[in-house]
Amino acid sequence: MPVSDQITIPAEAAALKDVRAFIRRHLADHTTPDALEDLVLALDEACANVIRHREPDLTDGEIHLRLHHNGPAVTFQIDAYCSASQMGQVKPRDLEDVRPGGLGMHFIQHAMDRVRFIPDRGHPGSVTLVLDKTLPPPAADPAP
Amino acid sequence: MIQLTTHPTDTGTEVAVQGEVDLESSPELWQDLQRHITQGQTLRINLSGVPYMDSTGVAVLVRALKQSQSVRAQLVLVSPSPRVQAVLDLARLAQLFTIETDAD
Repeated sequence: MPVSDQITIPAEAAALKDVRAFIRRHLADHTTPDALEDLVLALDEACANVIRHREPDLTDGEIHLRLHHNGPAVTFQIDAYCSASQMGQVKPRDLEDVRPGGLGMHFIQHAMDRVRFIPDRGHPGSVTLVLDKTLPPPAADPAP
Repeated sequence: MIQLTTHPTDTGTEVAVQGEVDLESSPELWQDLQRHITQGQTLRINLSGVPYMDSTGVAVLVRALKQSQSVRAQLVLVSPSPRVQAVLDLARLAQLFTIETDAD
């Protein structure tokens, strides 16, 4: 049965743990521990990017994360992820370039099958981040 | 929230980190670590109690490594949890660090 849910958090670092709990609560029983934690990391990084780079006039100071889960297919959506003008800065850094920072988008792309940016109709001038993943199934319980 | 416990070693200092390292807690971790990076000394960072680390935590470790190198100090990561090890591997940074595990 398809499941849709959403979480709204203040755009503050202290709220990221709530995002992690939200992902774990919904998906812990539907995939492997490693895949789950990769997803947790990816959504944490995506929300952290909003917190670090948000333009105050673009959002209401909150982050709205939506989850849609249907069988192994899961889609996450973050509205007002960034402004259209910031799109050029949204890219993973070269991993050969050893320096602090810039790893978040690399982690997101690693965890997801597809990363999309679409115009955000509710927030003119901004884009919505859409993340798609087909979950690997959880390991079967060993036979009794 | 993280808890940082410090104790002296024969060659310097060990900082044990407990808790999740993320955008909220990584500034506190950096503030603490940089106080313990001392020329000629070894700073050991015990990460066995860190169940979660994001890119900001990785950035703190890279900054600590670079500052250590700049003052000829040593930096050792001790017993990183499986998730910390996974994130370092994912960032292709694990080979940059001296890492001690329980098996060492």
